[in-house]
Parts: sequence; structure tokens; C-alpha cells
Amino acid sequence: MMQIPRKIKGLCKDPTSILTRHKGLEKKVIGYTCSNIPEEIIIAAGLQSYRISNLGANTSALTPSFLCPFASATLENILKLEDLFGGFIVAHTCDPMWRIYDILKKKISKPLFFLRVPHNTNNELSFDFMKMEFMRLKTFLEENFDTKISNDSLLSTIELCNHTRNLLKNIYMSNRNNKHRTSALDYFHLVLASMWMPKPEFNALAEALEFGNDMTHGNVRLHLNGTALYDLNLIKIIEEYGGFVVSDDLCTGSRYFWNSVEKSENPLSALVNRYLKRTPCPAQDPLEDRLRYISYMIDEFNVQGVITYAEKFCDPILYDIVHIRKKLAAKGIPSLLVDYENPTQEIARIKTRIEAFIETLGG
Amino acid sequence: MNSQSKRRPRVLQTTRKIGEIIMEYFSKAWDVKSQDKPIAWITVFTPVELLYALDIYPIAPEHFGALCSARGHILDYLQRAEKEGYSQDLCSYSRCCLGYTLSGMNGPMPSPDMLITFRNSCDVYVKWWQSLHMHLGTPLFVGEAPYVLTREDLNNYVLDYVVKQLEQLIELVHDKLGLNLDMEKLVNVVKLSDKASELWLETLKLRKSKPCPLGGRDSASDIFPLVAMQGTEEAVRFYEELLTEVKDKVKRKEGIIENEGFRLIFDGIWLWHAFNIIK
Repeated sequence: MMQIPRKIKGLCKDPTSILTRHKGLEKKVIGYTCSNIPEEIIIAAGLQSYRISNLGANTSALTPSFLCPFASATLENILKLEDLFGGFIVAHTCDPMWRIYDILKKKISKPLFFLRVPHNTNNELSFDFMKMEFMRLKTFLEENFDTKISNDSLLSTIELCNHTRNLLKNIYMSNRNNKHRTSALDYFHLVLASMWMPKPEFNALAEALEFGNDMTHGNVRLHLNGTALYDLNLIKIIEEYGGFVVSDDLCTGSRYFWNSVEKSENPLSALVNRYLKRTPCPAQDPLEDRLRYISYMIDEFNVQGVITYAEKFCDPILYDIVHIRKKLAAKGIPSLLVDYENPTQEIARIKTRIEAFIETLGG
Repeated sequence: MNSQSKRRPRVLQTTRKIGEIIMEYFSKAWDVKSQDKPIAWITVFTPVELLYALDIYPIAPEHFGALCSARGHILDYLQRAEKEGYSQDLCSYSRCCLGYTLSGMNGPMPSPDMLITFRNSCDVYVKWWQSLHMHLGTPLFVGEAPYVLTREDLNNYVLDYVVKQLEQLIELVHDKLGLNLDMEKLVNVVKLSDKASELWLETLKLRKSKPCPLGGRDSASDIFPLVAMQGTEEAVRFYEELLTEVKDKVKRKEGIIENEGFRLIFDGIWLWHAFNIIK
């Protein structure tokens, strides 16, 4: 069994704890909302990147009740924690995130950037557009935080972030070939911590980790997909009932680190390539690429069943699920859709469904 | 004024023609189909002018959804979509269209030869059109019109991005359907489009008059040609007629309701299934 440092476990319980630590330092923290935002540019500017979660916040009174509760709680966290940040970056991925930006424009005084992410990742025109958007982000950071982002600093940051990705991927791959060497709970602790801690500090901790022995005792091998998942109780309950999340398609999971940035003399172009060509998020096109990725994960990790966690009113997931289930049915893989508005309040219902599903798979 | 006239405000003579215009819009699609000419299913605000100039007949399933809802025919389609696994929490315009598609498309909308969407108002468009593409296998074009942050965006790489995508669409239509852009036709169609918009704006400005000559019930219906039939002679004719009628009412100081009390703004999508609220 891998020993996850107490520091990481504590951080995952209260991710804001690290913000108060940063507050004492000179480095300003930039809060960002989504894995489509290039952390490399933030870090290369000498700033600290921090992914804003929905943990610790209720849905915002500023949004209607039919808005994705995840997006609404993220908004609430930004408003609540504004003082601890130097600025914010919001990406246009889905309608709620777009509207969050519109609200924040009126509600916060810190510098705010809106990254327009192309939906059509397969269109060559999207490359030029996204490059211009990344350049605009670079200028925004330079102008607002009195800094200069050089090619050299970008190149070294790319190397740093690639190293984080490689460490995470290495841990992930330890569960291939029908093995169970890293528990999903440990793995998700690490992924989340890598988005909150300074990268050098995280990398040092991850390098020191030792893999445990194979723990395969007839656990049911599962694939988990959805959008962003910060509440690790949702992973814990799967493991409690004998399920083992061996692969995922989450933006707080493999989508965050699966593809690295290629080495290039033009770091900005290399970054655009990586962010555009990574597995499309559910809000993007083409859907076929996402289906292919899920199918690959299922085959590569010997998956027996698939669970989809969906935030209530999450349009991208609720459209995709129809096609994902069709694809899974054709492969003979059983699947379960679990939707929720507030997992803490609905945990008993979720547990019952997870338990029954795992039982049907022989767990 | 008696209580009956309070509940039933007048509707303009021109507005009364809308029902027929909507049915013609859909029946024309079947005429086009029977001539083996291509149909595109589009989302509202897709530049239809370009499609007319490519000799493609565009229809927007959103109007079909509104029509079904207003006439009480939507339930079967919604249930068909839900049977397929589409959540009740999803946009009902899209569920109506998906249900219609999955039911075999035997109603007012003929099947599409191409699916074209522009991500310019809500992101559901992308997911809805992807789903149609997955069910039908019809060629799909997903265009992007990014959120305009500053006025500079109307003259920089953002505009360039949109223009180049329109060029891509022309190329795709040529590749898939063998059609070419008729530039002269495009110029004429855009002129007609502008003309219809100008007439509508002029009409709306007359709503400043007291009493108000055009009511909510009228504006909800009268917008149809502007959204669905941009670039057509029919739309221009409709708005010319509407403007004449509204001008006449202003001249005669005749309002849509008697004894106008409060002026309200309606923000959002009309409640097609409960249209009486506006009445």
C-alpha cells in the first residue's frame, strides 16, 4: 500500500489551507477554474497557480437553482476567498462557466481573465485562435502582475509540469495489466494535491512515494467518468463496496495529466498543441474522440463496469451519456449513471446505488 | 372597458398571418426535398444568408420545438428522447428535436443533408448537434463565434477566426454536396436580410409611442421571419406590412390594449406551452 503523506491528505480535506500559507509569501496566487487553462503560463510568470474547487462552499445565491451546482459553488468560493488571490482566470468551457465570468466581472475587484477555449478541437483554425488567446493571457499576467514571461521561463516551466504529469501517469499505469497497486483514493489525493501545491514541492513528495504490492483480491475493476470531482467521499464509497476505480475520464483525473507538452523551440505553440489535442472535455467536439479515449481506457485497464458521476444540470455529461452507454453496451460493459446536486446530503442514496451496481458485477 | 376586453388584447392584422408563414416555411422544406435539393438543420443565429447563396434550404428545429409546444404536440417527442436516455433536465427544444429525429422524422421537418451549428448563444447547441450527428451520421459543421470581450474583437483575430470558418463551411458544402457559392446571390440575400432588420427595428422604435401599438403577443410571433427567414423577399414583405400597420396605429393613437397602465419588459424565452400568459 502506498503511504500518502499526511500533508497531502490534509490538503485534500481543506484545500484553502495552502492559500493562507501562500499569503505570507511574496508570490501571488492565481485561481483558475478548469484544466483547459495552461498552468505553465501562470507559473512561468513567477506566480502560484491554484485550481479552484467547489469544496467548502454552497451554491451561490447569485445563480438560479437550475444552474450546475458545481459551477455555482465554484463561483461562491471565488467570492468568498477573493482576498487570498492575486487574480483569477475563468475558461469558457460550458454555459455555466461563461455566466460565472459575467457575474465575477461585476462582483470582484481583482484582475480577471476570460479564456475563450475553442470547442472544435479538430479544426486547424482553432490552433491559431487558441494561440492568440494564450498570448492574450500572457500579456494579461505581465501587465497586471508587473512581470515578464520569457521563452526560457516557459520552457523550464513546461519541463516542470511535464514532470508532474509523468509522475502521476506512472502511478496511474501501475494498475495496468490487471494489477491493483495504487488505490483510487490515493491516486485522486495525488492528482488534486498536484493542482494546489507548488509543483516542485509536489514533485519531490511524489518522487519519494513507493508502490505497494499488488492488492488484487477480486475487486471489481471500474472506470469512472464525469467532469471535475473534488469530493473524495465519492471515491471512498466505491472502494468500501469492493469497487476499484482503475481508470477515469475526469478533468480532475487523467484528463489533467495524460498528455504532455512536446519539446519545442516555440513553447507557446507547443502548449497550444497540448491543450487543444488532449482528450476533449465533455463540453468540446468531436465527441468521437472522447468515446475513443473511454474505450481505450476500458480495454487498457481491464475494466468490468463504468460509473458516470454527473452534477445535476450538467448538459455536456447528460448529452454524452446517451452515446457513451450505447458504446459500452456494444462492448458488453455495464454502466451506471449517478447524478447528484449535493453529494454530502445525498450520500446514502448514492451509496445504495453504487453498492447494488458493484454487486451486479460480482463484487 | 369590460373585463372581456381586458383579458383579450387585440392582435395586429399582420401578426395573424404568422401561422400561415410558419407552415409555409416548413412545407417549403418538403418541396425542396422533393426536388432533391439539400436541407440543412441549423441552430438559430447560424448565418442563413450563406446557405441561401449555396442553394441549401435551412430549417431551425428550435422553431419546430416552439411550434409543437404552442400547439400541444410536444409530449410524444419529449418522451421518445427520454426513452433514449436524454435527461428531463436537458433543454426541451433539444429533446423535442431529438425525439422527432428518433421517431423517424415524419412531421413538418424533412431529414437533414447537413447539420450546421454556430456556438454563438448557448453551448447546448454543440452537444445537441453532436447528438443528432451521432444518431443520423449526417455531416456536421460546428462553427464558433467567440464571446466578444471588447469592440476590438470585431476587427482582430476573433473576426478573422469567424470569417475563416465561414470559408471552411463553403468548402465543406462543396465537398459533401457539390454546391458552389453564388456571390451575387449572397450580396442580394444580405441586402434583404439588412432590410428586414431595419424594418423590424423601425417598428420596435414605434413601441415608445403611448399607447403602445404592438404588444408582447405580436412581438413574440412577429420575430419569426427575422430569425428563421432572414435573406428572403417574404420576410421583407412581412415587415413592410407590419410597419405600415403599426405606423397607422400610432397615427390613430390606437394601442394594443386600452387604458395602458404599466409598461413591462419580458426577458427570456417565451413560454410557448403557456402562451396565454402574454395574452
